[in-house]
Amino acid sequence: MTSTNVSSKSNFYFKSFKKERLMLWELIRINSKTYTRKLISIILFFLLWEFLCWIDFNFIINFVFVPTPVEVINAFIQFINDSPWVHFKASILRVIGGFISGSILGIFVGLLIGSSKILEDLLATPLELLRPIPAVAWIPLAILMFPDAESGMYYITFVGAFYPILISTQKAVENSLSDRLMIRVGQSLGANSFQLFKDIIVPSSLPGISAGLVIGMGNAWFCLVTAEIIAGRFGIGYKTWESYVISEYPPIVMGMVLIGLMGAFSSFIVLKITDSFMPWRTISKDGI
Amino acid sequence: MGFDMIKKSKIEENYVLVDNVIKTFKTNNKKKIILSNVNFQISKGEFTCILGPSGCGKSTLLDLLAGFTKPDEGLISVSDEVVRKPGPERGFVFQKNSLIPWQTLEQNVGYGLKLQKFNSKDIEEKVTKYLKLVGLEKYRKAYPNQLSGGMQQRGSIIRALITNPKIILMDEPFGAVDAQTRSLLQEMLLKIWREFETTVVFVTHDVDEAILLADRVIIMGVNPGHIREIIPINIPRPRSLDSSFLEEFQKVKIKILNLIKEETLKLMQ
Repeated sequence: MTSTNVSSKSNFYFKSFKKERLMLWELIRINSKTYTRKLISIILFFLLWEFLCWIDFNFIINFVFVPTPVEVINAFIQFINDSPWVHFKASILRVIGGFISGSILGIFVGLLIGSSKILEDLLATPLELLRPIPAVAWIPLAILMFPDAESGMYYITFVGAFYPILISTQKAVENSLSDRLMIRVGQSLGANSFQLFKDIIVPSSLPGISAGLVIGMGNAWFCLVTAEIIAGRFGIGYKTWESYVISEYPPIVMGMVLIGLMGAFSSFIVLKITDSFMPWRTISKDGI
Repeated sequence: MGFDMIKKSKIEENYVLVDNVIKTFKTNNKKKIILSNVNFQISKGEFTCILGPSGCGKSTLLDLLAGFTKPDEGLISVSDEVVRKPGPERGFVFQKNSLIPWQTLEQNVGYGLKLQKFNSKDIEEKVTKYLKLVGLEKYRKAYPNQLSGGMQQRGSIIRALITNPKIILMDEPFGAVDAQTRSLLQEMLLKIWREFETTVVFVTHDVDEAILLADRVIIMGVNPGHIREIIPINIPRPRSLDSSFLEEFQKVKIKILNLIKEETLKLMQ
């Protein structure tokens, strides 16, 4: 092979990165129309909401008691002026605590029951029986089982995060084990069982585990209101629940919107972090 | 005792020994014989191709040599050792997409050495040497999905070669690359084989490829899989694409094609 040949090939290799960046820019330019449309759709959504409240719409769905967007924004401004940080901090800590403990345990148990038949037989049935129990149903037991309200709340966000991570990890490992080719590659290069697990099974399960983590993060937020019913004085979920109890409607919707936003944002962060562990993947959805 | 002695001397006498091997698979509680009474020997440094119609068990035979599966009866040994499980002493080159997707090319090539606890400096040195051998040193940091099929196969070959195996087993390694690349890869393989003096067993369904590469071609028959004939190829080396114009090449090709045709017809009856 001549040297010019090699260098032209390596040029091509670097060009492909450049090309990607160019494509991203073009994508934004082409999609600017789409973004405008999306913005218009959000504005229309709020206008429709405002309109339905304004005419006191009442056919099957009753808008008479629904707070208007303006009222929700006012509630938000009041909330911001009224030391919101304690609420954010309390909720974020509960979600992250539940998520991290759920991730560690979910991935660990998932790897075990995904790769061992004996452990699956021993562990899977009780876990499966507990899985359909909704977070709300755990409240009394959480109060009874844990020394204080705070740890009970961690437990409920944990339950939300744990199961999707567990199931995704288990299924991802089973899927990796069905890929005989990669296992044979490892074996023929001299990998023992532990090395096969570490170098082949776990990396090939990462995309599945990542999906579980993203769903788990969303679920932890999902369970936040439930968790914060157990008392406490702080938290976004607590705020939402308290407003319901005292029949103050705009802060309820505000709490819902805040939880939705923070849930979506934290899932996005989890997605980005897990993607950075999988630099080998190139995903193209252009030509399915 | 006497039987074991005979076995032992057989293992010592032959570099690669496949002795009375029977392999069956169970499907719906019925035993199906895949290979019946397969016998052959290979000497050190020999290049052997296995040819046969699809379904004759040639890949099964290679899996047995690698140790991925065990024979029901009989014995397989390579260089004085009975084959019991897969390992780096028998390098394997798979058909395609066998580079580990989450490892870069250099990690893939060095993986076997890493498993043998080589220090990272030695690995780096050896990997560079082998990457240069197949012209891939510019791509060492690339992931497999950034490489063409031919490049992946080149990487796969040096990954099998780098642990200095007793034998290289290749399962239709060029079957999935285009014709131009294939002939380049064939010449590259011959060059490597000459340089390293390795023993190669190469499964293919391409008759031209088999004749170009092999010292001997093992033709397999069907119903159940067995060895139909072993044909020595006496075309002078070094061989290249031009060798296919030689009269000897054409003669042997027609002979092999007729044998395979007979076996393929058996499958259709």
